[in-house]
Amino acid sequence: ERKRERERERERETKGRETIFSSSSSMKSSSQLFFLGLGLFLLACTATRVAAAGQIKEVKNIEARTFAYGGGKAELKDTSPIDAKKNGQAFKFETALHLTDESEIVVSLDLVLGGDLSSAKDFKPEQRLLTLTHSARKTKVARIVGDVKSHETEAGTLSIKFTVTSENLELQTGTMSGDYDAEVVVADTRFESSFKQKFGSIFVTHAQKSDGSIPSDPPLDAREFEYAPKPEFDHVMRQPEKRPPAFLSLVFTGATLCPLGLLLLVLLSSGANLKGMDSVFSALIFHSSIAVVLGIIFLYWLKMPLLKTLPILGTASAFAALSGYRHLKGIAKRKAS
Amino acid sequence: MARTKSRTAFPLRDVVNTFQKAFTDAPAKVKVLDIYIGAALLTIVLQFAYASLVGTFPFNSFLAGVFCCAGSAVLTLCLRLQISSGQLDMPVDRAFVEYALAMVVLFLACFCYLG
Repeated sequence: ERKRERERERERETKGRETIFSSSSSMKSSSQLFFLGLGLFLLACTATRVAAAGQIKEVKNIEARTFAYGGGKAELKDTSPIDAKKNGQAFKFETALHLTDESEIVVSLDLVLGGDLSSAKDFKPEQRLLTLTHSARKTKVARIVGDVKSHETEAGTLSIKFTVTSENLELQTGTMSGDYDAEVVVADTRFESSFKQKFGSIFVTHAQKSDGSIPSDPPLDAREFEYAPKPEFDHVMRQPEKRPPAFLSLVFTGATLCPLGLLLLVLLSSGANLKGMDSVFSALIFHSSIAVVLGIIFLYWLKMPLLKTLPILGTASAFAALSGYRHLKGIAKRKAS
Repeated sequence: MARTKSRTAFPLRDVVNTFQKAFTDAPAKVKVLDIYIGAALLTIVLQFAYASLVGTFPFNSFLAGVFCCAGSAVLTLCLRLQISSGQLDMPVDRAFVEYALAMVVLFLACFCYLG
């Protein structure tokens, strides 16, 4: 009976282990399925993108036309072609573009598409912007979205037009006159490379006010205020201390040297002498080494830097210590004998 | 009565007489040290006189000058005490060498602070 009970217990244990393992294996399989699905999804996304790729084969016929309002109609006043081969470099016109409240400037270009997009119907690039940035206040930026149409005669070619009016600029940057740097950007996620070109500047003059005065510039916003140059200020230096006359300082320098002179005189008068000095040579070496150490310290005070002084001072001090030790040893020997 | 009156009336004279007698009775080597201490103290007095006349600017230089003189006077006084105590457990020459090395260190510190 005991054997049967033990066998039953073993069977229960093995059944319990099997259930645990089976749940972990099911977790593994579900996570594998999840990652497989994610990979397929990503592959589908990339495959879709690769299949619909296009390119800008050529950008041509870029020009800026100025229209003046007269008699209720816009009359072409000036046409300024832009060189497409500049390809990102700034382009300067021979005659400057001038926008007023009685005129408008139309920038147009033709985009020749290649790849799968050349035959795509109703294709419009996602980004087609003419950006006008004020040359002085860079935070004032106006953006004009271009109108896209298929070219009348050439297949696979788009015509994009950007119409710039002073009313449109006033909505975005306020009545801010001056030079605006112009840049055209045409881009799309399906393009292999985008088109981006600066073409000089457009001088903008807004309409006068009803009283005839020139419209004022908009006030500084938070970004401009924070990064605008701060007002100049003059440093206030501490006034130098009042120094005594040089003559007085020199007199007291001489006075402080007098105790040394007096010291010598009093020593000599009180009978001090060097007759008791034996082993003159080693004593001279020792006292000279001390004088050298003091001289090095004096030179450090005058002109030598500390890091240059310390090794020299260390060497001289070691020599002074050794010579002193030798001198003392000699004196002790002579006293013992 | 006259003696006690003179003692209480002129205690400074007694102090000076005591110092003079001790100086006269001191050995020659100890006299040299006493003279040097006097010279250092006189230099301190002159520096204070200058500072009181024209001010303490630059203060670090004034302190370096005063501490150099005071430090050397104190070290010399210590050497004098060692020599005159009669209980020196090392030769006098060795005591002098230690005094010399201490003075070198003092001068180095004062020159660093002089500016």
